[in-house]
Amino acid sequence: MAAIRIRDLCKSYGDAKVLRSINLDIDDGEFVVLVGPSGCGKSTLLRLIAGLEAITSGEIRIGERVINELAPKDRDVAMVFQSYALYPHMTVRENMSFSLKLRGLSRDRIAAAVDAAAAKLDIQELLDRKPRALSGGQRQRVAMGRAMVREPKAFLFDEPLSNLDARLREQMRYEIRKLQRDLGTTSIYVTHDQIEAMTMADRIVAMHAGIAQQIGTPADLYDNPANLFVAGFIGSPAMNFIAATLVHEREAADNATHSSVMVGSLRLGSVLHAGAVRQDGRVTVGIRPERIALGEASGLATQIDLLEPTGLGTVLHLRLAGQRIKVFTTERLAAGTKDAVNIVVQSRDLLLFDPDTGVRLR
Amino acid sequence: MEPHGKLHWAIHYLLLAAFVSFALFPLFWLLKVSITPNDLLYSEGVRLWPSRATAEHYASVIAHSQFPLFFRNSVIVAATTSLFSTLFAAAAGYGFSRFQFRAKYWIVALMLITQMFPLVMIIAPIFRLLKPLGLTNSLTGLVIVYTAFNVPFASFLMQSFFDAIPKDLEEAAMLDGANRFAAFRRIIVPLTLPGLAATLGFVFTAAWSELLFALMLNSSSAASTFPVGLLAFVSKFSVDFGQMMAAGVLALLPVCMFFVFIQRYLVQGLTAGAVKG
Amino acid sequence: MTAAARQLERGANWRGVSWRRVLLAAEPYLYTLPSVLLICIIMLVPLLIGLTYAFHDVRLLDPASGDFVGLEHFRELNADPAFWNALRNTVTWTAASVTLQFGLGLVLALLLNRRFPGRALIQLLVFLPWAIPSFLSGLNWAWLFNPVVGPLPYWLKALGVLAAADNLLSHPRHALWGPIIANVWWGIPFFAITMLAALQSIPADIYEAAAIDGAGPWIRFRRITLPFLAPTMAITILLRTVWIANFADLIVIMTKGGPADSTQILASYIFTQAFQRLDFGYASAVATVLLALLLAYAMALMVLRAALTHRG
Repeated sequence: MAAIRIRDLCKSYGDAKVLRSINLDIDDGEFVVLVGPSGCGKSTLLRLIAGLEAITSGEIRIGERVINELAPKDRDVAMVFQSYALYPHMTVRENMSFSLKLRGLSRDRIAAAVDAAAAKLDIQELLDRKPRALSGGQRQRVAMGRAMVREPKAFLFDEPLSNLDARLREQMRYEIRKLQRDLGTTSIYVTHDQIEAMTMADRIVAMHAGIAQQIGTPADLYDNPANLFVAGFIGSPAMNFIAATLVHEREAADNATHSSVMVGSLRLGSVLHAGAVRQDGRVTVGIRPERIALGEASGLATQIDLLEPTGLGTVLHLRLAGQRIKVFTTERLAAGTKDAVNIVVQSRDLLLFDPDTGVRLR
Repeated sequence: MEPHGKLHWAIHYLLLAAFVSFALFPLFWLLKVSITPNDLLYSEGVRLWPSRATAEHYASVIAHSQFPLFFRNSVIVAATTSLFSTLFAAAAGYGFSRFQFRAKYWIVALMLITQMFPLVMIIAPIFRLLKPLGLTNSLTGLVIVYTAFNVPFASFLMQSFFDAIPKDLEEAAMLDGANRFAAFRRIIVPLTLPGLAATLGFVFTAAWSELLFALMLNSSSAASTFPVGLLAFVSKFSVDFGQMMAAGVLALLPVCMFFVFIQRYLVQGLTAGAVKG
Repeated sequence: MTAAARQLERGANWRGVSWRRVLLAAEPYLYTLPSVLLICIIMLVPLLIGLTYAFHDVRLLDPASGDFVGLEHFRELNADPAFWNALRNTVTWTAASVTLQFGLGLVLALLLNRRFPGRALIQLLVFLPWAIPSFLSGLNWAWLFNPVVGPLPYWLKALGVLAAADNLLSHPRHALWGPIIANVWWGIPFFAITMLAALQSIPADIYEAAAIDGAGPWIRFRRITLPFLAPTMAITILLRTVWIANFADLIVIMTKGGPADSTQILASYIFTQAFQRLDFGYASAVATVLLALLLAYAMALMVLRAALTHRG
């Protein structure tokens, strides 16, 4: 186990910059999730840490060692691939023993290590089977067993649950996280699924276009997103973004301002923010669907476009002053499509974002 | 697919029967004459089966002629060529499959060009190249030349087999503690055994059948391969058809056996070669 | 950790780039170098040497030969009726062989493209000719045409193709068809296998969708099968054309180019000049012409293909 430090890491393929100046400190034993849409650079970052691709500039340290130029085999990290990459012509036992054989350990020690890992993963009956005779979930466990057996400094996971169906994914999320806690090995986990990120991570690195947009705990990213991307990526159903204008109300201490948030002629609420209002007053307002309440007589008038019952609750697609917003409620509703309904919004739930750069205004 | 009427299937089988007859008839005739005794050869010319069969031609060929020598030479040359070609081609094919490098375009172009020009064109220069080295009239010389001829096609073939194996297997092995060559040896190669077998088979067949260079580079019968020996035999004993055809049937045996084994991989292998090439 | 790794960690490098990166960049060359060297020495260098022979007087039997003669050989071949005849024959030989091999191969592939009992066996049998060494195929067919032991002269007479039951291969006008038939016999399996693989890669649901839409078998063939096959067909035909134009073995075996050079194609003419007359200079000149023609053919096709893809 070891801490991992990444400094100013950049990666380009020719002229294409895939990673821009990534800085990240991972503590020993931490479970960090790299999350983001396709092409954001998360897998590339993982592969750079593994040594499967070469760094363009920057530095990676594991423990105290700079590992930039080390071959994958010398880095002492283990990886679980999206396709599991189990050796098809070897049995499960041989798959798990391979790395130890390469290290030159004795047969007894290898057998002991493999049996211990198999017991922990509950795959003892599978040891003499070949990968093609295993189900998806079983292969996943074998891939983890292969990584575990080496007792590496870090585990790297490259979207290991993408190939499994939804039910199995839920279960494996739990198993992976529990296993990692038991072993205490530093882990870096890549996924495009924000639910996996939120449920499994100690800290999340939200990535987009090669840049780490925000690094923090799941609660941090949910409550306090740094920009439009993070706000819209984390949380499901996704945050509502409404084009609005800020109208100056009064000055406040420390160069802050109270402003009204207006959508057309409708007033959503009042916010306190740093700096003055922009010339044109344009702002993007974010509010989570679950934070909007359905009011009786008070509140803003909207019309229902569509209802999506999810069992747990209902997602309502509404129209407010020509813009579409979603509301999530656990109440059972009597209303239907085309009905009118009033919504209530709390000022403290409004998040402000610069409409051009997407940066969060505080 | 939708069901077809009886007429449809009748035509289908009829056409297939025509193809099968066309394919097998020459070989059948070869066999037939090879077991026809000499006295019946001329009188019974066009019969579909001799009234009396004999193995005397085979006996003569095996016991009295130099055919066993020619056969042995061909086996040595073809087997050695296929071994070396496959080795070289496996390495080159792996290089093409896994790496992107600047010279790749040029090397592939070089290999394609070698498939396109008339080989007869370099018969003279190769002769003059090998003679001072003592490699004419030698099996070694033939092996070197044949290996060079077959490496391009074999490389493309091996490349297509390697392409079918996911790259993350090597990556997993490299993380497990192997360097690339060890990963190649222990993980990738075992998975391409069918591909290796197919390549060995293709090259063996090609080397076995080669005539012109064997003719040109060998003037002594000690180093003659089967095609050369058979041709010389034919021109010397041009009336002894029984023996010639028996020799022909014997020439078929190794390649037919190989063929039966690798037929499964032919469809895979040839498409890859043709499309890539 | 290995000693090399320890060194790397300390930052050992060469001209500012770590050793490991240099080795990594060199890796692909290590894998491909043996093949490249072999090909260069055995094929590329002789090719270049061969091209120079075309401009020199090179006779194997005459040690004094080797003088530069400029375009002398080319003038010689321009005036050589055997050369022009060989050129004509090359076109006939290539066109007939490719057309028949391709056409019959396609039919065979279509026949094999559906499941029926005995398919595996029939497939093995019809593909067998491909495994026969070419020299044996040549000899075999030569014997079939020989009135002494072969049935074909009698059948050809019965069909009215020949006036008397003699050897097709001794008729100057028709002899070339002997090797052509042998070539077709030998070459059908190759096309059939390639076409079959291509046919089997066409997704079945396209046919199903078309059938539901009401398309009959002929329309499905024209509108689905042929367009899907077109790229494979094009590449295969291109490569085989070049290969067959270069393929002299069958002619050398069956007719030696005779009677009276009537069945010579350029490739076999080159061989007989080199092997029998041992005139390497002249042979190389003819070979140079053949090479130039093939390059022109390949380039014309590439231009055509570029033009078609631009329009399409």
